[in-house]
Amino acid sequence: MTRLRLPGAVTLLGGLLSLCLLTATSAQATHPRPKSASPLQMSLVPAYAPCAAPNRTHGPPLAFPSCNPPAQTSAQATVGTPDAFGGAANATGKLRLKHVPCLDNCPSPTFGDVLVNIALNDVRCVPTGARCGTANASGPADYSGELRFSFIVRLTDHWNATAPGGGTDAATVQDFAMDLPGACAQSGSTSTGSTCTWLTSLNAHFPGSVREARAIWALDAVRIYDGGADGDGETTADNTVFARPGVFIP
Amino acid sequence: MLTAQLATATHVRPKSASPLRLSLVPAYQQCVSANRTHGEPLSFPSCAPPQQASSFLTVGTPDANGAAAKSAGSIRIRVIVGMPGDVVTTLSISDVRCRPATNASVCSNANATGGPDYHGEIQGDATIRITDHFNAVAPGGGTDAATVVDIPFPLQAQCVSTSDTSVGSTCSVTACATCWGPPRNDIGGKRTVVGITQFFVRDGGPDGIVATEDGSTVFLRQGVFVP
Repeated sequence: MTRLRLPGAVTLLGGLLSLCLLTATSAQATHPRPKSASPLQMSLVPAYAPCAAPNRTHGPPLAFPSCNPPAQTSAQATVGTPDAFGGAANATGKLRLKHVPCLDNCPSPTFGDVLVNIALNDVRCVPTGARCGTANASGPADYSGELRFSFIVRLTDHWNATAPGGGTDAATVQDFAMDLPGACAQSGSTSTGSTCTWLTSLNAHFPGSVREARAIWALDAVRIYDGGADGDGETTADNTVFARPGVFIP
Repeated sequence: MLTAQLATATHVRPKSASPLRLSLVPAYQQCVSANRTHGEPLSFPSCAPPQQASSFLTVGTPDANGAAAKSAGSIRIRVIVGMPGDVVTTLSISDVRCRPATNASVCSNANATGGPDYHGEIQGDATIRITDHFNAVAPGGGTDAATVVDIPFPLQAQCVSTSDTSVGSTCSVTACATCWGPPRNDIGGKRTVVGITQFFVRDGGPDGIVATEDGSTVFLRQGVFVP
């Protein structure tokens, strides 16, 4: 799996500029596409580890094996919960990806964009975590590291060619991952944790990545990772999954 | 001796998390043997021509099958808070058409261009991971906090032909846990965190019937379209 992060993207862009003038082949085939598919909006919930060695049974009608106690997958970040680590349950999280067309002074070819709007609040460090900031009156301290928005893309569009540099052929790209680190700000309140936000776009992070070329971006493995022990979202080896798409039924 | 254990651990949870609204796009097969390169900065190997993952369904597209691009699909999952609560799921897809491999018995209402309307079944699929306070050592439920093994979350819909010869069928369904049955005591009051994997939509295979398991394929996946 190829992984695309901002520094790598910039290097990649620079290294390939010299290849832009190579001849592109004509589009030989096309691909079915929708009229529209946007926005994609997800609520986010704390991520839990899969149940591998059950020691409980869930109540009916979903009487499946279950694992007690639940184990959060993140080793660094959590949210306030009265009967867990403490603190009121203040956390909310949502993620929105929205296509926006180029409306003014559009270059040719036209670059639209995909806006990325993510917000998570009341993010706290786990009591044993390495990224603990300002203490709260109840429950763990504010989380002081970064988070990382990560997803896998299967891209099908009309921007391919036999030779490098792009062209007009319709093709499906080999699956690749995109990673966007996001900063967290400690709250300044002793009753709630940090707020972590992304208000950006894919073209802002990866210049030129979104192009109006009948592009179908199928997304998989949408996750919010913590920053690991070093709190750095870009050093991915120690990052663990903090949140994932889901719903909460109180 | 069988003694019920008290809940000795609990789980972190948000204040709220709802709704999810996922736009859907046609699914394509994974690129394995690349014969093209994508334009920069996403200059990864790619496969031409693109291969739809579904062998049986498609959507109108001018330069693919001659029909106008009129398809839109989405799924919405919404929590209704209460005692009991509920989870309402709505799946809707427009301009669904047959491909040549689909049995004629579920393909009708020929269109002016492109494939005919599809009036078979589709099924939305995802895997969910539930963490809540409704578990016990013995069957029957209890108050222990636990994470349930991953389970499927299927949602079946019937596609209905349109009389309009410029557009394919419409497939839609709204489902909820208590729509057609008694209130369920497992929904609401259990601090239920439901993690959801990637959502996708399967076709009904060549006969248009999901239950026959005769080779249904993935028709749509969650995603975004940049025209």
